[in-house]
Amino acid sequence: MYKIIGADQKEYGPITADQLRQWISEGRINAGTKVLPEGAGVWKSVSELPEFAAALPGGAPPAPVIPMQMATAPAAGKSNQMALWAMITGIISLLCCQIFGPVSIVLGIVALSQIKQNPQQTGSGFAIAGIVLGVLSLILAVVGISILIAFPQYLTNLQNSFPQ
Amino acid sequence: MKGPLAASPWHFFTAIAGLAVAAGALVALCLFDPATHGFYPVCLLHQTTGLLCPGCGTLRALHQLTHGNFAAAWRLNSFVVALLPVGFWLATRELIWLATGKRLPGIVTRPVFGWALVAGLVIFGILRNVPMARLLATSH
Repeated sequence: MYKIIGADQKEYGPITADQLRQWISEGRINAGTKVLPEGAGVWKSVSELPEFAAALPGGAPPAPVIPMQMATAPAAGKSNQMALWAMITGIISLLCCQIFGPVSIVLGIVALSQIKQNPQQTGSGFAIAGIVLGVLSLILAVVGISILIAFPQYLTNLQNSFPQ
Repeated sequence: MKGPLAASPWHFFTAIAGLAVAAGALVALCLFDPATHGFYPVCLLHQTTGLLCPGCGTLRALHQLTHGNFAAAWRLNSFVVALLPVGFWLATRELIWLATGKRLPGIVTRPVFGWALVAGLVIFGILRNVPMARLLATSH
C-alpha cells in the first residue's frame, strides 16, 4: 500500500500498487510525485521506486500533475429527505392519526430503495423507523377499533373517568 | 405534457386515482357533516381517553370550510386549518411536477420544518387539552 501527495499538496491513499499504476496511466501521478510506501517512513519520488519504472512514460520530465478528485476519501454523505419524512409521518401516525400509517410505510420503502440506488446517501435508519412506526400504528388502529366494536361499554366507563 | 405523467402510465394512473379520491372525499365531507354522521374514521385517542389529539376536528373543520364557515372551522382545529395552504401548495407542486417535470422549490420539505411540525403538533395537542383551551379557541 502507498500514500501519495497530489498536486494540491494533499495526502491521498493508502492505495494499492495497481491503483497507483492506474493513476500513472491516467496522468494523475508522474515521476516526480512523492510516494510513501507503507512501512518505509520516507517519502520518495515515483521514479525512485523500481516497481513503477515500467508504468512511467520513458524519460518524461517531471511535470505538475493534474489535481485529482478525492478518489479514496469518503464521499460527503447526504441524508435522504424522504427517509426523514417517513419517520415524521410515522411519529404523527402513532401519536395521533393512525390513518397516516400507510403513508409512512410507503415513504419508508421508497426511501430505502433510493438509498440502495445511491449508497452515499444516509438515513436508512430513519426509513426503517418510519416503516416500523407505520406498521405499529396500523396494528394499533386494528386492535383499537376491534376493542371499540367489541367492548363499547368498557370504553364509555373509561371516558367517564377522565375529567372532560 | 412532458412530465412523468406523460412518460409513465403508473404515474398517470396514481395521479388520476389520487385526484379522484381527494375529490370524492371533499364531496362526501361537504354533503355529510362528520359531527352528525358516523361512517367517518374515529380518533382512537379521543375514543379511549376522551382527550383531543392534535388532529381531532380535522374532518369537521373541512366540512365547515366546504360550507364557507371559516370561523367554525378555526374553532374545530386551528392547527390543521392554518396548515391547509401549505398542504395545498405541496399538492399543487406535485401536480406541476407530474405534468411538466419541473420541480418547484419545496421550501417546507426541508427537514427542519418536519421537526417543527412534530413539535407544533405536540404543543397544540397539549394546549387544547388544558383548562385554558376554550380561551385559546382550540377546543371543539
